[in-house]
Amino acid sequence: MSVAYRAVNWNRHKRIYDGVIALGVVGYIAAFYGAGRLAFPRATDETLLIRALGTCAFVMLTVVLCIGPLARLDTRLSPLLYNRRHLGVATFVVALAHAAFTIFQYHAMGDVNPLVSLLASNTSYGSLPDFPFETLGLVALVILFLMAATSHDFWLANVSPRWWKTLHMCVYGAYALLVMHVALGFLQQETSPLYAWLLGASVACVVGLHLAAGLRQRGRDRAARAEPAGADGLVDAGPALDIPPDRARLVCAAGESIAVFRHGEGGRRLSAISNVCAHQGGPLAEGKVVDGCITCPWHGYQYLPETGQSPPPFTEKLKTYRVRVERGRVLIDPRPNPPGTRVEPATIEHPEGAPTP
Amino acid sequence: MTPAQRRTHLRVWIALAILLPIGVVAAVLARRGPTARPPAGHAAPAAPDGEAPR
Repeated sequence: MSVAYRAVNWNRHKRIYDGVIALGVVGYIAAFYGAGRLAFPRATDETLLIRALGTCAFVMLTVVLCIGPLARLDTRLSPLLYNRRHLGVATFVVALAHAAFTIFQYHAMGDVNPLVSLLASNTSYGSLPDFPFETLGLVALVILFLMAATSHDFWLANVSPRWWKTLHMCVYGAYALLVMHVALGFLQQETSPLYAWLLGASVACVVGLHLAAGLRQRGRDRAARAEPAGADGLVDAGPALDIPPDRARLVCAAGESIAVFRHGEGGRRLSAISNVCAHQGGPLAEGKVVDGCITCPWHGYQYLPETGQSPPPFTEKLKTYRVRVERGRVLIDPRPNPPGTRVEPATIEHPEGAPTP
Repeated sequence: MTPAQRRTHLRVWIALAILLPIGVVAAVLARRGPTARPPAGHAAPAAPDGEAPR
């Protein structure tokens, strides 16, 4: 989190991460060029460079898309999620270099404007093997540009998290376009089944991981589902002492996703706030209480348990829920309070370690 | 994400899981081999006055 505008909140981890990305890109292109030179001695330097940049961007996008579900499946990979944006911007830069070299090589040597040539030299949209695959790559590049240009939190705050997330979900469309860009372009010219298998492996990896993470999360949501019981509409969220100190339990009730945190000195207090982080929708129930603040596991956004507000001078606010403890069980009112509403925490009478009378 | 957003997310990926393999397989089956397509850009329209391309 940052109060003032800064282009990049550099820290040691980000520098290391970006260094690894830069080395990875240079190493990949050098290895591709070297291997391509050996395997295809008649290939021109331009062709090898264009293909190296194109495959590098595709591999990078595959990795970008795999980070999200991998972090959902194994929280030890969450640091990759924290730094994913830089990899996404780097992917756009490599893809732009691929597009620029391609246009220069194949469309800039004639009398026709290169972009007009790109879009008008092949209009066989009704033919699968002759499909103008370049158009698919161009549309995907435009999507990647919009995402890279709006990747900073400045845009997230100004267009609202909901619209920002919707825009950035377009990366799935960009990936689908690029898969078909490769299938209708490169795979039409190269007959070796190896390339089709590699493309299929990327699709299987990305789609399989997302399905696995989605199905696992659906199972978690179902396990966390609680039904209101009684006239007061409260839901039973289970034993209070089963929630580890400074951690949370997820409760899904009445369409709300609620994180019930145990906090305070000796873990004696319980507060319930929305499970959806105001930043990028991160799962707060998977976070922990740090220095008295609920901390999102994705990007470290923080909220006070009693109010759902970020500590001053930050201004993010989340919905809060009334909570109380009866006979050692947590009861929650799933009807949300307006974001930032203070709710007095419930008190656990006999927390772990406390002497029982 | 809320449970509703997660459901939408999952539906999108189920749709992609069906459509992407179909697209790739269709593209592979439809290909005609290495000489099917002239190199990109070579089909660009000639100059209108018949001038030789640069």
